[in-house]
Amino acid sequence: MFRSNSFITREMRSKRRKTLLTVILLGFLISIFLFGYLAFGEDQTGHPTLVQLHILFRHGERTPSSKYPTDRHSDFIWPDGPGALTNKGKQSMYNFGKTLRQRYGRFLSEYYSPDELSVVSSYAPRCQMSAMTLLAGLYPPMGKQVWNKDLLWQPIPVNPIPRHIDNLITAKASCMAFDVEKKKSDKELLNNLTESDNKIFSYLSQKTNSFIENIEQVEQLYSILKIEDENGLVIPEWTKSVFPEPMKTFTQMNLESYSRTPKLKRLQGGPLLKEWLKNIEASRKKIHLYSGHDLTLVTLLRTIGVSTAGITTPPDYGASFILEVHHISDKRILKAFYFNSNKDSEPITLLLPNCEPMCTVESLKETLKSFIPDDWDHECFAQTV
Amino acid sequence: MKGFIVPVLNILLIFVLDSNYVFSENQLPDNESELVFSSILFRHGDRTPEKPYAKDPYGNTSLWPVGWGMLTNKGKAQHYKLGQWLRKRYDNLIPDHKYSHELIYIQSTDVDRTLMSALSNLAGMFYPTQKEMWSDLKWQPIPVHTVPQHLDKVLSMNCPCPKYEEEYEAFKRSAIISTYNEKHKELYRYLTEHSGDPIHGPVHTEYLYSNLFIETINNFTLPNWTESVFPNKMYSVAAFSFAMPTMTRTLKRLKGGPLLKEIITHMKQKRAGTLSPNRNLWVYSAHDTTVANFLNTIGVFEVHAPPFAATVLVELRKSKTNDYFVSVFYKNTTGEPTLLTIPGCNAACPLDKFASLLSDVIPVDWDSECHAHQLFDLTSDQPYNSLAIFAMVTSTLLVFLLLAMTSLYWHKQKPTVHLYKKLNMETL
Repeated sequence: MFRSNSFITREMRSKRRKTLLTVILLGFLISIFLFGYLAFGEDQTGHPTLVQLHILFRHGERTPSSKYPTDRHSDFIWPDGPGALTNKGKQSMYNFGKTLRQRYGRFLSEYYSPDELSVVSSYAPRCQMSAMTLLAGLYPPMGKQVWNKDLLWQPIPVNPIPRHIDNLITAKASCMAFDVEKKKSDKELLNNLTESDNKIFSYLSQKTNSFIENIEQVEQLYSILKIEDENGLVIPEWTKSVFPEPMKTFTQMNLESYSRTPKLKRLQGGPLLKEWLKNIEASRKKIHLYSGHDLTLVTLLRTIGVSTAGITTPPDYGASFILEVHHISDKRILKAFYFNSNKDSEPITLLLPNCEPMCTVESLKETLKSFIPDDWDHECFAQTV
Repeated sequence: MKGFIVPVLNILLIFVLDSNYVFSENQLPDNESELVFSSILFRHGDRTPEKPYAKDPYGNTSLWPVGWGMLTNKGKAQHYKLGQWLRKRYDNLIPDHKYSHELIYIQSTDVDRTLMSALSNLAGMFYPTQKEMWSDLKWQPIPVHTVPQHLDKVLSMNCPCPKYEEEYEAFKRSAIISTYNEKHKELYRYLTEHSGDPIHGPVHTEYLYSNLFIETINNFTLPNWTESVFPNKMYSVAAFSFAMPTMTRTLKRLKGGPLLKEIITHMKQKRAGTLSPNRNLWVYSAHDTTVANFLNTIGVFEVHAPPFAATVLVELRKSKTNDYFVSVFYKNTTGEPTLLTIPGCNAACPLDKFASLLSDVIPVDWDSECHAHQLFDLTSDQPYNSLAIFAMVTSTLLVFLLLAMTSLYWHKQKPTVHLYKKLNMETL
């Protein structure tokens, strides 16, 4: 600025013109700053219209829940016990919490408040613990919320839903109509399998010395092998021809089998979808977090019917589906995003069905009408009595 | 209006024996025994008022930034410290100081401040060992189990129990309570007038008392009207409110019984080696009422308002001769806990004796006891009622159908049987 002033003095004789030019130059500079700030600010907040967030994530890295008869690592002692969140899982969920803080830092308050946040979790300890570590990253205590200066963590309640009443996340609450429909659908699915698929099943049965006759059993085996492999335990030679593919595809097929028909979608994915839509209408909280499983994610994505491009299957650790609610010119607009894993720093954008480019809450509701159960309990049991 | 001799006796006992109730000796009779299991019940830490009273000069939300009824930083620190104390006390029950879900189970009522208290407590109790460190944070996630309030039949006892409600309403109308309220009528009138809230009994008084108490510890100057009643006059009434919910045998049995039953069951399983997983510690994070109800149910409640982070320890010890003893401790200060003795037993009470002495206040089947005489009450909130009615109607119909079919069948058969003839022939 000094330089420009001296330049002006040399060029302009008249005092008035000098002042005028200074004013113009100053104005110019200020507008550059303002524009710069706006552009920069846009990058940082990115969400001036955002009003609410709904996030469903899968837990972090875990240990196997079971073993198979010929498992050469069956004596291996997993330090955290079966089906547990590992230290690596804690770390990655914590970091993912930080990623979310970075992405939504301007939208969320600096301070934790129960009025802003709700956290619902599957009853599985690994899900509860994933939620807790994610929150440790998302809401580290700031300023007045620091209660122990040697421990930058604060307690935030996580609400686990007891398994027998959980029709939202693990979706294990009993539902007769679902069971009937699932059995029927599974039969069709089994009939669609080819000869070579069945050959793979018998190969796996033979090698594991167990009965592997359906895709669910393949998924269980795949999950054990995958976790062993990830943790540096050498998996046997015979797996080379089947692991990861085609076992991986069968695994995803099994996860999808829970939402294979419209009725399955309605009974399995409907309750969570209904809760989200209800929260969009009624909740004043800024963020609703749901800590669940791979199956929860697959079911919700398929029930909503989002675009699948860019989504890796089956869902990785910490994979997350995000539904953002925006207020844009008096309309409530939905935007969908997906983190393929808790290690990604940016999500991919998903397209909502029949709803682009601007998806209003109303239009999505209309599209998904048939998947939202009016009275889930009633639908589950009434028709079959 | 029957059976109010028991409460009368109870109150007499409480007032007459009072301090004799608590053994001052802070020592276990048998030093040789080995601690094998402990159930820990505590109240949440320091909190903000649940709701301001109508004329509350400090009723502005901005004065309580964490919100109403929430755990404060002080409350977090209280429980963190208590957790560290528990870690020390149960050193031999926590191998290598490491957390494991097979070692400890934590249950909380489904309320933010109790969930947060449990989390803070666990942060102190299980700050990570070297192996458990997963980041530079000296904390590790530990699941806290909870069930929705309306389904909680063990801890918060918010699951509806019509029989309890009925009994409690009757108790509140009893002579003993009306006399008590009559005696404090003037206080209630005074409090109603100045607080702007309807204060009609000990429970209302307690709500107001706790608000005023919290305001004083947060350095708010109380209005002048409180001087004549706060804390002393109000305290005794507020404290009495904690004895009320479990004053009679039935009230004890339906309110405090389920938790006691669970704790005794775990101890028996521990003794038999059938506790699975074979845990050493069980933690319950709850409220002042839960603490008072439990103490009163086992007969050791000295009338008072349990302070923040007040803790009951029910410890199981194994003697050298393989006998199992129960000892109950109460820690309502930051100091060492006080040893309590249940009536009729020693401070180290044999497990079976402990169970049999208390068997009267342990429900056999809480659900059915709560819904006794309510089988046909469709208006109650009994979740299984409609199903029960449905089943009953269906089975009745089926029985009728069966009868009809049988009689039809019988009728068809009848002509060939000729019973009449036979009978006639015999008489001839």
